[in-house]
Amino acid sequence: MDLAQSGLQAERTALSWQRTALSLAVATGAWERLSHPQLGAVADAVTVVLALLIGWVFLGSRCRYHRAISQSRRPRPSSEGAPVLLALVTVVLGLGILADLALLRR
Amino acid sequence: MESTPQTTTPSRPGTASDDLAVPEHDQRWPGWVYAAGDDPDYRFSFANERTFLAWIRTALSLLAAGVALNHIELTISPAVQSTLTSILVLLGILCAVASWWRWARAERAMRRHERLPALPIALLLAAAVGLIGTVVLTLA
Repeated sequence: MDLAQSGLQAERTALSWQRTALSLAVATGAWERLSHPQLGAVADAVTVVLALLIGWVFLGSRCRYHRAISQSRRPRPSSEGAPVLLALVTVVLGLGILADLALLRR
Repeated sequence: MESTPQTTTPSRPGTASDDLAVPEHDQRWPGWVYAAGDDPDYRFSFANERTFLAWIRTALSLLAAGVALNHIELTISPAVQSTLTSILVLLGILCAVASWWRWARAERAMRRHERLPALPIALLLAAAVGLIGTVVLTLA
């Protein structure tokens, strides 16, 4: 396997996961600003959980990439559970924002 | 730079290439994606994963745009502003669901050597974002 071909694929994908982690951080920040006045400590707790998830997405992608290149084997796509978890978190975040907006209108 | 994608790599027993072998009983989730067919070139799976991530970032951006639209001071009526905000957030939720659905269907199609599925949400998304942008520009 050409190292440049395999390395770049894994690196581009790891960078894509990291960009997604940053986008998730922005959306989490937006949700926190909206929710904090109404939910207080609950909003803080959810934000901490989301921050841990963001850290896992960011660092996990880096670790997977470095492990793949240090073992000089064919990198593997990180499919399975990670995509559905990320999609679910995005949906829950969206529903949280909708709930906040409904509460604000009252 | 681009070369013909490799679809198979010879695997020799007892060597470091053992991890390239496809397991007999694929335990990966979801089963309806991995149950049939064979692993495509791993670069295609990576590309599929990156496309999924790009859609997720779009979904997250739509959520952030909804919150931003709710916060800024506009001269349009509050009812219109909150309706536009809700549409953006709903589009974000729809986009997140569609992103995973698209990823799974594309992976399944590649494994079975079928044609890639189309994604009708792209047209809806472009039309809705264009419409909301136009409304904000003309009324605000």
